[in-house]
Amino acid sequence: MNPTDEVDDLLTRAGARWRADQPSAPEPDLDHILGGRRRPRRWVPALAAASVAVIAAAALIVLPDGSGKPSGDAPQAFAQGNQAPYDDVLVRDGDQVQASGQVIAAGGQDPLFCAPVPKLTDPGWATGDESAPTCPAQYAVTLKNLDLAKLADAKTINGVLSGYAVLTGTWSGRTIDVREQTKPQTRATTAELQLPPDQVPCPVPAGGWKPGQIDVDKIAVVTFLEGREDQATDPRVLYPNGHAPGAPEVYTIGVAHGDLAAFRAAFEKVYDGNLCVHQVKFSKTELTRLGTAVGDLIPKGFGVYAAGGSSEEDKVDVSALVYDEALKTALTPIGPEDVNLDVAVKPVH
Amino acid sequence: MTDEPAVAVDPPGDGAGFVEWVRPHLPAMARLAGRLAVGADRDDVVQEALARAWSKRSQYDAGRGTASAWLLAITADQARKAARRLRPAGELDEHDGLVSRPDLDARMDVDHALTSLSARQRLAVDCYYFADLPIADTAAVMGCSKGTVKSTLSDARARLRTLLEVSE
Repeated sequence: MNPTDEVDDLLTRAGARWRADQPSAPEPDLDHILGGRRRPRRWVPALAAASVAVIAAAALIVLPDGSGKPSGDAPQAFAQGNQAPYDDVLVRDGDQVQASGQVIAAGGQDPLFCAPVPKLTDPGWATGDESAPTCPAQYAVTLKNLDLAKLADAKTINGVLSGYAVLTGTWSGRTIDVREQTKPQTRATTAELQLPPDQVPCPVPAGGWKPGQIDVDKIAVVTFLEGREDQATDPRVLYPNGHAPGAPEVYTIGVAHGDLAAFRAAFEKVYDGNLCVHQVKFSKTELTRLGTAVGDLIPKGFGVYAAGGSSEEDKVDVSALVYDEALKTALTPIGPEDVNLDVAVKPVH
Repeated sequence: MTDEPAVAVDPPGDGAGFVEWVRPHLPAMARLAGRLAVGADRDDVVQEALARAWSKRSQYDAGRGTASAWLLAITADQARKAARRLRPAGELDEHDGLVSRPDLDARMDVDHALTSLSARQRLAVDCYYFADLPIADTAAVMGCSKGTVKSTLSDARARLRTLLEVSE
């Protein structure tokens, strides 16, 4: 089987498994369809909320001064003040670190903390078919003085023990000498979390933003933007008055090159809803190129495990185990100021 | 991937008829909503999409595309909006440790791997492999040609293959 077929097969099985777990389609709510009455909002299913939390969870927090408190709940804002980007999260030997996430312990070897690296593995079809957990070397941190009996959700598969822990200790050469160990707190969020109102990077038009949903599913709109990926970004739908049903939606497009007014005038021939066209640094094509450059670091041992996408305008999302001197050097020619770095190593100041 | 039944007639103007018109497409709409609006209420997304389709039914042109493609494009738009309303995972403040669900771990591996894809690649994979849409409907959701869908899927598989190699 060639490599691509193998991936095709994995995805096909993963898709089939996912579909098998899905509930039946809902019966159409005729009252809602005809009258537009919104059904009472329900709690987000706990399973889905837990899935979101799992993705967000693993973190390794560095305490550079050796005595500071870990950052705790909230992710750090990395680029601060006039420092070079991410210098405040740089990790060096001797720093105190805190790690929260998966621990893997194979017999006869030091246990490992593993960054939340994506692994393309066969989901299998039945409990008991799972393969033993592993951690690629570039995403693993060796742990000394760990108490395996204190791991949360511990399980053993094919002789390999895995579980979860919050670890504090001294960082040295991809090793943590553990001096404190606790179990992660488990809080599955069950409420749908609402965002505050978005900041639209354009002035409010005379008369205000028009309420209601905007019509962005027209082929003409998609075609227009696909033809201008060298000039503009992917659009965003922003909610200047919050996310209540019926609240205004603003189609927001960043234009990196060319005349904004001309772009807007051309776009308004295919779109007549709320619109914000504003200046940005990178077009979609340029962001894609930037993401590819960072993605090329993945197989090179710098601990980068995800690159691409853009949760912040003019930046490419990058995930890595730790921001150390090696990764800093690797990112320098790409432009660390142009990436949104999500590392598993975070300092507390 | 399965082909949806072709419906070449316009949406009926009565509610009951409209429901019967959309019924063959509900499973695909629900799968797509479930895949694209993770964390949101899938059924709400479907109901919103149906309400949207009803209000726009006069705009449907059977000569420009199938009912399936039209309904799925609307569903995808509603799903994106629903997902946008949710707080990004990185901003969650209701947890400070790992929430482990052993039964989810294996599937999370695949889902997690998909985060390494570009947004367009991930959309193509979600539509084709997970929502089980045919290429034509995937193209409608993505607003591109069938050839672009195929090339996007090919690029996604190549990217995932690279990931598989570094994970082994």
